[in-house]
Amino acid sequence: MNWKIATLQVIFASAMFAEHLDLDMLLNNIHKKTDLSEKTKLANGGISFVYTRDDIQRMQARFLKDILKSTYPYGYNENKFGLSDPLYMGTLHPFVSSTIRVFIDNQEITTSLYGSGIIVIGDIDIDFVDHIEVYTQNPSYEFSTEPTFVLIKLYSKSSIKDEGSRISVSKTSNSGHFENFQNAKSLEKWSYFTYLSNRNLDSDSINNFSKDKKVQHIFATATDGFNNFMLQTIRQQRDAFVNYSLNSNQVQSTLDMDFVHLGWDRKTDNFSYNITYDYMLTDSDFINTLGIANSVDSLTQSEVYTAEMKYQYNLNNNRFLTGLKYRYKKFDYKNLVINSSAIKKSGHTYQTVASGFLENQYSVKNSTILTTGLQYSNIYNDHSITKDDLLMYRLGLTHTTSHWTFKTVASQTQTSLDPYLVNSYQTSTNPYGYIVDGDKEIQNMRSLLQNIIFDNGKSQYEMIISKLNIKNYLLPNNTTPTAVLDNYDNEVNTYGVNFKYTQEYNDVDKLFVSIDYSQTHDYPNIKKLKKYNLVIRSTNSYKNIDFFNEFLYYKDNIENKNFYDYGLGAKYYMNGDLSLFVKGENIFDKAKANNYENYYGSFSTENINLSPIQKEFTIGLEYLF
Amino acid sequence: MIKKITLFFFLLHNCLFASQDYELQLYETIFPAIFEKSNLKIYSDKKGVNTLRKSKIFETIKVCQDADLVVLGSLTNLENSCQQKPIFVTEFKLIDSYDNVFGAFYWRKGRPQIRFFNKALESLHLKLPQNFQKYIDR
Repeated sequence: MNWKIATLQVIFASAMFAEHLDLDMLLNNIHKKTDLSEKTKLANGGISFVYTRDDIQRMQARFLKDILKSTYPYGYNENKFGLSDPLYMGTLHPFVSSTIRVFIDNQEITTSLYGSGIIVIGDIDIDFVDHIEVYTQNPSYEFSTEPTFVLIKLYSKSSIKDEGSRISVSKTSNSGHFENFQNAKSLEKWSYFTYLSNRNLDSDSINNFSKDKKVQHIFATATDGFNNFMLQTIRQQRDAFVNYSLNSNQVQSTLDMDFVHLGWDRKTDNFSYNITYDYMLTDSDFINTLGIANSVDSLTQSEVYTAEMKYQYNLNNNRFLTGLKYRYKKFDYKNLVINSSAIKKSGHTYQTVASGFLENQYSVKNSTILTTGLQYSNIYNDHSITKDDLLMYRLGLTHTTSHWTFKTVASQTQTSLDPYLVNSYQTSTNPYGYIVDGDKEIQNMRSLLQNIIFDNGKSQYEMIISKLNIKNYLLPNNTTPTAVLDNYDNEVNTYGVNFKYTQEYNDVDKLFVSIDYSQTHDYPNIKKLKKYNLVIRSTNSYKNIDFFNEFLYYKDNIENKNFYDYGLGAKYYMNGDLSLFVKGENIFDKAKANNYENYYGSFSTENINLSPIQKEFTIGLEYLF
Repeated sequence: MIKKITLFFFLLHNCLFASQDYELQLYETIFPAIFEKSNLKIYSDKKGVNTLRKSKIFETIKVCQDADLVVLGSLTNLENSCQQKPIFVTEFKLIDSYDNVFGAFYWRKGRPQIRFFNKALESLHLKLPQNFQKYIDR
């Protein structure tokens, strides 16, 4: 009997060890399951969605808009200048999405005049990115110098995983092309990552509305494990799309943007520090025969200086976090000529934002955390009566069991005018929609949401129910392109429900479904605005080929049209270092589009629908060495 | 009888739950197969110790002379006694640092990689199992 039991033991032990002898399987597990997003995700940072390295590669997401277009809650959009602007409202304002903020690693990419850096990098190439986290509904104050309702964090690649070099080249069906090169290395004490890219986009142009652009992008980081340095430069030469035009007879419509970000951050023991500098130069020219203005020539230069210090302290069951942040935004309208008349400067040259915050995470039990947070910001504008004190708070309760997570979050976000809206130019007429300097109320957003997640390892089900109340909502005061943004008298309430389902069939096959419905009450001129969104995405592998399919559907009760964006792609790994990829985007050319009125002749108009996601096929090669 | 069954379930439990850490699983697969025993004494630097001490089959020790092998994650000035031991590195740049580096696990070009080195394996009289041969550095 003894030898039988001993034999059984050996057989079972061998069976257990036999499983471990497959090194390929172990390497594959390490590749998939030690994703850096597991280390960076803000625990209790609000409602979050993570795009892992594997997700980004399988989706062949090469530009940030490829990710944003299917991301809850706002998706992706572009304004009349062809600039990224998810909250675009159909007006001539250059940017209205400043509560959607973007970080690379621990440093915010920001602009002086317009707030958020989304205006610069909303459609930037992201081959330098390892993974992306999106936090919504007023996330942690740890990463928000200014009011933030949606936080997008891009985590850059590093020599930890990407030591070596990589080159990628691709060509599109619209005669565009894109090339990039990256290199990472660990030295004795320091390690670095560098990335260079060049992109030439030939866009669909209808009736002379063009979004062609050339973009050169440099990104570099260096770290010794404690100090992190970052440099980003982006040069964009763009056709400025509709611009101020009312018809298609632009003689010239261009927008050149030069952007530089320099930053340092450091974390030691309980303290973390951050100093960053952002510079932007924009040069735009517009000449038309029939427009809001017949010619506009402008040159603006702006700078942002940001300094932050944060302190974290654990005491008993509490994790305290407190910090001070200061931001100085400087801007200069070097030149502004409208219809051959030089516009006199307003005298407004800078805005400062000084913020202090305190957050605590209290562990009620091992499985329950109570989060409280408070942030106060003082906004000061020179040569203006716009000076505001903003108060933000959040209260959250998170309870987890082995399979369930319950999150309840109540929060308030307040916003003040972005610098470009603070003052108007002193002109006898004001056709450009800028607010005349006046006493605008602080915009107040209160949110309450419930998030429920069930996760059994291979399947995850998630539901978000939310209510958003906005008081003094800054909205266009009419439905024409020349509308001015003004505080709306009524409170606007939006109720939303979102379902997400993720199924991992095995290590390589995954299905993701998201269904979203929102209903907004008391929006100007609309009794109820209803929006429906659906995302279905599958990523699969067969031998050496990775596939993906993505279907996006959108409908609202205003246009009452079905929009759908179908994309698919395949990547063939010829060997460990060389791969070939093909991708089709908006294949049926039915993606969600914005409506533009085109005036021709004296009295005739036609509606043109153009999507920010153009129909395009791409083929390319990637080589690692 | 009861003792044997208990021992069996103890072994089974150890096999099943030896490690939820994938990197540690890798070491628990490689090292016993190469050294033909599982209860190895391993000397490591700070970086390696954090992973290895979670193992239920390895013993991390502080004195190099008693070690079966050395796992090195950062460049340090190894004592001579350590340099004589079989060395496994976890950084690409350490591969050429010492003659006795018989294997390496590191990330490069965005993916985890394993390599073994014939010259060191031969001089250390270590035998690589057949199914590890594809990872030999040629």
